[in-house]
Amino acid sequence: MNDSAIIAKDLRVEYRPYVDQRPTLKGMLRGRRRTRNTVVALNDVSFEVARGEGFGIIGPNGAGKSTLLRVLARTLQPDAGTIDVRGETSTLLALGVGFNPELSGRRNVFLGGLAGGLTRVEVEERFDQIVGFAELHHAIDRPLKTYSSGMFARLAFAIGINLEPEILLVDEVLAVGDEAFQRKSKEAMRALLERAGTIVFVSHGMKQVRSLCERALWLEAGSVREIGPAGPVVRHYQQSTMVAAVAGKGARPRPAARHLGPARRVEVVLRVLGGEDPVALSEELGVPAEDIVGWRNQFVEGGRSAIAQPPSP
Amino acid sequence: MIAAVKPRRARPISYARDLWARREFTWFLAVGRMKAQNASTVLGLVWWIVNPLLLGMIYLLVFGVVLQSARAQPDYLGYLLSGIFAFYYTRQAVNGAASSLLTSARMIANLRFPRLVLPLASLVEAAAGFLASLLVLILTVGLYGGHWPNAQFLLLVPAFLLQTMFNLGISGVVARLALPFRDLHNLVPYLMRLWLYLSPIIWPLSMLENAPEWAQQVLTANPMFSILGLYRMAFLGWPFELQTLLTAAAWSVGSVLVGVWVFVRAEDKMARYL
Repeated sequence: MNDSAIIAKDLRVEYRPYVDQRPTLKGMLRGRRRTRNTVVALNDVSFEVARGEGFGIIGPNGAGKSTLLRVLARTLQPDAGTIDVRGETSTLLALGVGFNPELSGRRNVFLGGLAGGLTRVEVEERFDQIVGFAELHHAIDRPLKTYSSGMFARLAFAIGINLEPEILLVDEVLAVGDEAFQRKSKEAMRALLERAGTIVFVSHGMKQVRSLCERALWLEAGSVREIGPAGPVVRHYQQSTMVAAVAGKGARPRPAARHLGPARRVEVVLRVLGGEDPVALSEELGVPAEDIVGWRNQFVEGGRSAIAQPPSP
Repeated sequence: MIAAVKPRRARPISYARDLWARREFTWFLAVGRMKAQNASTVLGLVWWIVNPLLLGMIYLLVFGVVLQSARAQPDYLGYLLSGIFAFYYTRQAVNGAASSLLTSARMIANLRFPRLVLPLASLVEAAAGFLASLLVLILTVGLYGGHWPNAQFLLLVPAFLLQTMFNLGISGVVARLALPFRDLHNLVPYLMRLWLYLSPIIWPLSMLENAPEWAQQVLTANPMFSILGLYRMAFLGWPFELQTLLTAAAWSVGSVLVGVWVFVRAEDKMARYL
């Protein structure tokens, strides 16, 4: 297949906590060097991503999504399996890698760009574009530590997208900045796809995965649970994680809400991933909208988890 | 078909090319850190000069005045300061290397580049500090002992280059070991102190003559012995000895080969230690 950007075969990654992490002097002296309890982070993961495709990776926390992305970025060697990545890769794995908060935004554009593999001249050429995209003209000579977290993230995203990679690896960044900036970043990523660029997108924002990705991979405990067109995969994943305890004041969950699949936990609030729209929710669950008293998005990007406002009666 | 990424066996030439392609990145990392340091402390980079100078003054007081090493070593101040300043360069390089990977954990986890960039950036930082501090050393040695730069002063160039190579090798080993063995971080200051005392810096050279044979052999086998010898030829007008130059060169080449090899060989595993 010539139009594949990524071919992953039978990827396996194990973490051996004792051996890999910290052989301490004490452990060495005791001669306890190797323990058998390995943690399998990825187990026989195989997939292909076509050139120009948006490819989503979804799954609960600890499923191995970030590990997989690191294998794709080739910063982590798999223990078994092969991975072909064809094209210049850029990672938006963690925003602002390489930044130095004491230095000015200007200086950090160079640091970030150079860290991403550009030359100094290339950063100079793209400088205005980056700053323009981040909308930070006014603050570019201020130390980075004076930036708000939104400004910080905007600058980091602007650098990442302007590396103009053929393959962009994205880990949860669309949640940065205000709504206008989010729209802008999504557009920039679409533009990348239109230029036949490839995006591998790890997110808990199901709406974003659905709108940006053609196909999705659902990871569960390190293994591929489902792989295919984004819409159905996302729906099946969402259904598996929903706790169907939709309740009004004292009301019992309705049968339609109950059969939604293996519930992990029962709560009075609805636990759902990426479900921002109460009307769509009520349709999906088969319960009247007024019975939904609230929902919780457990994986709100940015680490904040909040109970959303109940829909107005 | 592009070759599957099997565990990458680092090939020296392609590795060197990758590293060369990242030279600007290395430079910006080092300069950025220096600027940041300058911005966050009042004296900033002046500390690079003040630190070894203060250390020199303490040793001068303790060993020169109280213990009277000064009598046994002609030109003791110049001897002491040239030793301390040069040693301080290696010390800073080792300290920087020990933390270079740990402080850049996020970069290692997320970005692909030759990891040697990180200890190299620390080394650039240490080298810049050392070169800046040389001005003070030249002034002190000139004003106090009357040793102003002459033709032999040019030996500073090989001395600096060889020590830099030597430091790079040590940095590679230390950075490699500090990643899994975090204990090393606590040990480094003591090891460096021991090394300082074993080097001809505070004790007069004449002490060697009275020492037992085995001690002489141990002390002169110290790579610092020949490296410091070169600096003293440059600064203090000690007579030039080819053997010192060759010994220093042998140590430096050996160190850089072994150190870089040890480091690069472990690169693939580094992301797992973080």
